[in-house]
Amino acid sequence: MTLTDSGATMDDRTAGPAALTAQYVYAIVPAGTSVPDDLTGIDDNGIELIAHGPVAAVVGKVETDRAFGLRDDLLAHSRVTDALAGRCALIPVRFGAVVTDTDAVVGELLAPNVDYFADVLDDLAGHRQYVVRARYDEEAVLAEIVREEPEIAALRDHTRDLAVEASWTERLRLGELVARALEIKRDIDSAALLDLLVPHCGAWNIRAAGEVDHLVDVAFLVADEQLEAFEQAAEQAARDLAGRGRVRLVGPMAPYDFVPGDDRWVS
Amino acid sequence: MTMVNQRRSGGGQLQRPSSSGLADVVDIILDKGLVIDAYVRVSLVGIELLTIDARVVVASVDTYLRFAEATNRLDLYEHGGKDLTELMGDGVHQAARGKTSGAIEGIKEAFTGGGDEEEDEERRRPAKKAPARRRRSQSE
Repeated sequence: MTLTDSGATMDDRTAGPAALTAQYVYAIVPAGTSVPDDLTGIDDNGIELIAHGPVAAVVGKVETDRAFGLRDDLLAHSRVTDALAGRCALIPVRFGAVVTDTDAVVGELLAPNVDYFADVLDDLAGHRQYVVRARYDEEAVLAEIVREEPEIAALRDHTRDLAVEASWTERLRLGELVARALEIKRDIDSAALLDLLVPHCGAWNIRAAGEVDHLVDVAFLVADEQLEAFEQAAEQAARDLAGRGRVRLVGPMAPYDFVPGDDRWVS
Repeated sequence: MTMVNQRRSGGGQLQRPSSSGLADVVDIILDKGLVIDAYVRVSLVGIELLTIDARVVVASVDTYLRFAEATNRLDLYEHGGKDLTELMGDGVHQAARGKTSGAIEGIKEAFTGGGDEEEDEERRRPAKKAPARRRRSQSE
């Protein structure tokens, strides 16, 4: 690859016996961002910036001949992106991105995308991501459903003391109705939560659901000046749900939900 | 790296973890962030396991039976029952929307597959992510 920036000269170090190391890419930041001296990444290796024009890649050395994806790797990745997100606009890179060397970081990652990265960083400046995770109290919500839906209550009474084999059809029907009722509750309760929070953010993204007690997970991109109102709205959402569920507010964190890359996989 | 040291703001109901625990980190950063083209990347041993969506989708019949069992076990008068989440398993949300077919095969392949299949798994992801409703209020 042809070099377009002097940032690649430090690759001389990795020639020869150190051929099994490569550059792990954590994030893209504005060039000139200062990295905390004590910030370490995967394998406790130091963090470096490789600049190209107005943008820079945040990288650290990693050995490529070992099993990867351990708990510590994930936490280290998160630690680096979150630490830097507190200081500057930042495009977090998806976990596990390793590039052969600094030549490749400049020539294949930064140079072809420099204008694009700079635009995204401009958009993200002054914003941080928060994730609101709402969960039901399973028992409370299932009890609500049994109380509210006579057909569910009847099927429950009918199948409760029968063997599974003897009540197969009724059980399927019961489960289907409960699943549907939960879905309706999720839609109502998540809409109420969004009504409270969306006015205080710049962008938001609902994440795919998981467990049965899942109510909703939403990532919000919050401008610094919106934060106080946003936190108050989250507090209100938690109060509204008290007794039926709970709300956690996680962040600030790097804007993982608001960078290019994810859209490619979402139809 | 200590986890889940909860504080509550202003005596309210909202939970504010003081640092992200592993569970939050996994949910927040896996599958998220800028994707670097595969041809630029170096393959890493073991990384394919982490590209699997942790939310295993179960077939709807199975899901419905678990729902039924959970509801039947529910004691409406004494709140004694527990472990509903464990009992009912994951992927309920997707199953309830009827978007279940094929996901289990995809996951199994990913667990056994090598380099090429990692790519296949990534290509398959949109189907699993389809239930996520994505809206952005911010203009470009």
